Amino acid sequence: MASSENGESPLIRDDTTASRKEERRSHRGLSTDRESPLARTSFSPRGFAACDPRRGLHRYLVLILMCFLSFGSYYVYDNPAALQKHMKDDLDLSTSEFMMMYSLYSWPNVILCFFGGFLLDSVFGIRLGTILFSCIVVVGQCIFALGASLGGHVGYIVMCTGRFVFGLGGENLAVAQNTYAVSWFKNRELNMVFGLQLSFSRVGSTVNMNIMGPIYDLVSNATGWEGYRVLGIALWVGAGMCVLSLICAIVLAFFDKRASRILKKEDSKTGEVIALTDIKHFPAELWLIFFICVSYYVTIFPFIDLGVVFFEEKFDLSPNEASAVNSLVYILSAVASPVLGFIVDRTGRNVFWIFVAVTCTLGAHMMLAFSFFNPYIAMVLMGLAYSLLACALWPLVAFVVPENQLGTAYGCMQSIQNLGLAVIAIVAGQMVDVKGYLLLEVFFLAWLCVALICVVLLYLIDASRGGALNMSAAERNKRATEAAKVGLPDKEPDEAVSPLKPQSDFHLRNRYLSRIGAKLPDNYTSHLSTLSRRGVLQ
Amino acid sequence: MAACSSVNVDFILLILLLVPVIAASSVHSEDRTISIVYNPNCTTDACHNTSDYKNLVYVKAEGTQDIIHYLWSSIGAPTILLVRTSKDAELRVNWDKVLNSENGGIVFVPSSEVTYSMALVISRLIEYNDSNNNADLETKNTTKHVTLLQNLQWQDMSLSINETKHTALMMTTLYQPLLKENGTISIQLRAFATHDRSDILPHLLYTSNTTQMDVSLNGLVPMYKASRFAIEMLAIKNGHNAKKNISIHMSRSIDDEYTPGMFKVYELHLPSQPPSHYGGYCQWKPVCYGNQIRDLANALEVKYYDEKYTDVYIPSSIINNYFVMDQVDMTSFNISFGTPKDGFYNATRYTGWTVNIAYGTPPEDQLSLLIIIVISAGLGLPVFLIFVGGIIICVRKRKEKYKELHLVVN
Repeated sequence: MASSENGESPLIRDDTTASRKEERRSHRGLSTDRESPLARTSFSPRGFAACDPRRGLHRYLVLILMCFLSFGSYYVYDNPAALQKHMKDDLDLSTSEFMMMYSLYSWPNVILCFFGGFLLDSVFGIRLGTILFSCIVVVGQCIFALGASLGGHVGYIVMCTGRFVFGLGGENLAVAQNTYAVSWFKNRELNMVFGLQLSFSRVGSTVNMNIMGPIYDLVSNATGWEGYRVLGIALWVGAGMCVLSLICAIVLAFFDKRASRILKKEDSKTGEVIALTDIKHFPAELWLIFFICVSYYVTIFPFIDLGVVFFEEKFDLSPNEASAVNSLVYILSAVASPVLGFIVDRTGRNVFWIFVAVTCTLGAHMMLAFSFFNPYIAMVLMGLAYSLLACALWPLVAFVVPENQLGTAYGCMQSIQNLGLAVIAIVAGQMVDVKGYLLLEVFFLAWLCVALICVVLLYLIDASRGGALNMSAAERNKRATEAAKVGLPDKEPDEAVSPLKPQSDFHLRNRYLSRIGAKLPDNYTSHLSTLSRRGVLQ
Repeated sequence: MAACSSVNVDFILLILLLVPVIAASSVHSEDRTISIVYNPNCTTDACHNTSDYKNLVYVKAEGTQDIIHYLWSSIGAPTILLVRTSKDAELRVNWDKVLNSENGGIVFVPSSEVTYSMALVISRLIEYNDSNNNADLETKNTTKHVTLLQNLQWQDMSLSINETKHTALMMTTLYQPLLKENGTISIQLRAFATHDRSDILPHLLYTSNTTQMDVSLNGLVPMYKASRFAIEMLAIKNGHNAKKNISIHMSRSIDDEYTPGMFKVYELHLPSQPPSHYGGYCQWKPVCYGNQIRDLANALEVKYYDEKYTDVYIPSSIINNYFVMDQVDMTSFNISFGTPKDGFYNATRYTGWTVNIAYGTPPEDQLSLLIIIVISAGLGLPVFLIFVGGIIICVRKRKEKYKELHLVVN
C-alpha cells in the first residue's frame, strides 16, 4: 500500500488533527460519516426520532417520499398501454402510430440518461436536478393530455411532443432516485431500498393498468362526452400523479438539505466536479456491472415482450393463461424484491447473489427452451431471480464510484441498459420471425452466459482487490467499527474511487503497519504479491 | 464456494443437452427419377372436354429398388393416390371405367408387384359461423354450409404441369350463386426426387417418397358474419388389418427454428401390412397462413378433430376405381383453419395450408448446427471460466493464509 500523503500517524494525532479530519471527511460528503461514533456523539438528538436524520424512523419516512418520487412517471409511462383501445379509436391511430409514443420515450433515453446523470453530478446537484426532472415530467404529461384534449392529427403531434418531453425527465428521474437512495441508505438497507423502488415502479404501472380504464369510463359517464375529450381528461389524472411526485421531490429536497445541515454534510456538488472525461477512469468493476446489467436485462424484457405467443403455442395455454404466466415476472418483482433486498442486506455477499440470480435465470430459460415442464415454475424462478439481481446489482455501483460521480454512473448504466434493450428488442423480434423461439431462447442463454462470465470476472477482480463487493454483512460491519476504532480515515485520496473497499484483515493491518513506519517484508508489497512464494523473495 | 458447486450442474445440463443431438440419426431416402404424364393413354372425348376437365396426373418416381406412383386427380373429389410397386409394375388406366366411377379403372399390373397403396381425398369444404369466436368447428348449434368438392369443376391441369419442378396445380373457381364475387380453391401439388426441407413455411421435411400438397382458399366470399373454413378429408389404405390401423400421432418438439412459433407435428399413420413394417403417412404442422406471404405474423391455428372410422363419407373419386372397398382401412377427419379473435376468414380472405403425403418413416426435425454451436460455446465458456476462476481463487486463498501466518511469525 502506498503511504498516505498527509503522513500523520493516527497514533500521535491530537484533538486538533482529529477535528480537522472530521471536517475533511464531511467535506467529501461521505455518507459513512453519519454512522461513525464520532459523529454520533458530537450531535445530540434533537426533537422526535421521526425528524432526526440520524434515526431510522426518519430515514424510512424519507424512503416513502423517494418511492413516490418516481411513482408519477411510472404511472404515466404506461398510460398509452392502459388506454390502448380508447386511444386508437378516439384518435384513429394505427398500431405503428401508437407505438411511436413509446419509441419517442425510449430512443432518446438511450443517450439522455447519460447526460442527465452527468448534469445531476456536475451542474444541478441532486436536489435541484430532481425537482427539475420532476417538473419536466409534469410538463411532458400536461402537453400529452393537452394533445389528447385537442384531438385529431394536430392533437396526435402535440401528444408525441408531450411524450418526448416526458422522456427527457422520466428516466433521469429514475437516475436521481437511485442517487438519492445511495446518499441516504448506503451502508444501511441499500439493497432493500433498491428492491422497494423496483417494487414501487411495478406498483405504479399496475395501478395505472387497472384504474385508467375505469377512470375513462367514469369520466365518460359523468360528463356524457365521448371520444378524445374523455381521453384528455383521463390523462390529466396522470398529470395529477406527476404533480404528486413533484411535491415529493420538493419535500425530499428540503429534508435532504436539512439532513446535510444537521449532519454538517456538504453538497456533493461543492466537492470535486466530475468531468465527462472521468468516464475513462471508471473502474473495471463498474464496466463489468454495466455489462452484467445489459446482458442480463436483455434476456428478460424482450423475452416478456414476445412471451405470450410462446406460452400459447409451446405449452398449449389459453391466451389468458399465457398472459398471466408472462406477467408473473412483473408481479413477483413487485412482491419479492423488497424481501430479497432485505435478505441481501442481512447477508451481504452481493456478487454471490448476482451469481445465483444469473444462474437461476439461466436455469429458467433452459427449462423454457429445452423442456415442456410447467412454465409457471420457470417463470416464478425467473421472477425471483430478476428481483434478486435488481436488488443486488444496482447498489453495487455505490461501492465502486465516489458519491460525486454517482449520478453519472447510474445515468451511464441506465443508458447502456436502454440501448441494449432497444437494439435487442428489434433483433429478438426479427429472430423469432425468421428462426423461431428456440433460437431466441438460445440467444438469450448466450447473453446470460456472457453475464455469468462478467459476474465471475467481477468476482475475480474484486477478490484480487480485497473483495469489498462480495463481503458478508458481518464483515462489512466489522470493517466499519474496526476502521473507526483504529481511527483510520476511511477514505484516502489515492483510493478515492472506492470508499468502502476494506481489504482482508491482513491488508488492513498491513496498511496500518506501513503507516506507523514499521518495516514490512518485501513480499507484502501488494504489487509483488504474485511473486511472493516461499523462497523466491525471502 | 458457490462457483465451484455450480460447475457440475452446468456440465450435467450440457451433457443432457448434447446426448439426444448426437443420438439422433437423420432419415435418408434414395434419390428418384421423376416423370410426369397427363391423362395417360386417354383417347376418349371426355379428356378433351373444355368445360369440365378430367384431370389425372400420373407421376412416376423411380428408384433403384422400387417405384412410387402418384396419381393426382380431380376426377370427382381431389385425390392423391400413392402406390408403391416393384420395378416391374405398370399403370393401366381404363378411361371408360374411370369416367363411370367403376372399380378396376385404375390398376397396376402385375397386381402381385404392388406392395403398398394409400390415398388422401379432400371430400368436403365446410364453412361455419363461428359466433362464439373460439375457432371450434364442433361448437354446438353452429350453422354450417357444406360444399362437396366432387361437384366442382376443375380447370385444366395440363397447363400447370412443370416437369422440372415436378409440380401441378389443381384449381377451381367456387361459384357462389348468391354472391357476385368468386373465390378459388387451389391445390398445388409437388413431388420430390430428393430429400430436403421445403423452402416455404412451414418448411416441412420431405423425402423422395413425398407428394406435398398446398391447399389454399383464396378470396372466398364469406356467407356468415363470422365465417371460418374447415375441410373434411378421407384417408384410405389397402389391406384390412385390425391390429395396425390408421391412427393419428401428435408429437411435440422443442425445436421451432424451421416453423417459428410452432412446436407440434401431426402425423396420420397408415401402416402397411406385414411383412413390410413401413407404411404411408400424412404429415402436417397445425399452422396455416392468412396471407400468401407466409410469415409468423400471418400464422393461424389449424385444429384437428378426432378421426372417425365408421359411417365414413366416400365421395366420388379415383379411389373408387382403384380400391376394393371391402379390403381397405379408411378414416375421415376434419381440420379447421383460424385462431380465436383473428378477425375470421374475412380478415384476409386467404388461407394456405400444407400437408405431405408420403411413404416410409416420417422424418423428424433435428437441432441445427447453429443452435448446437451456440449452446456448446455459450455454456462451455462459462463452465471453463468458472473452473479456472475457482482454481485461481483457491490458490489465492491458500497463499493469503500463508502470508498472514507468515506476518504473525515475523
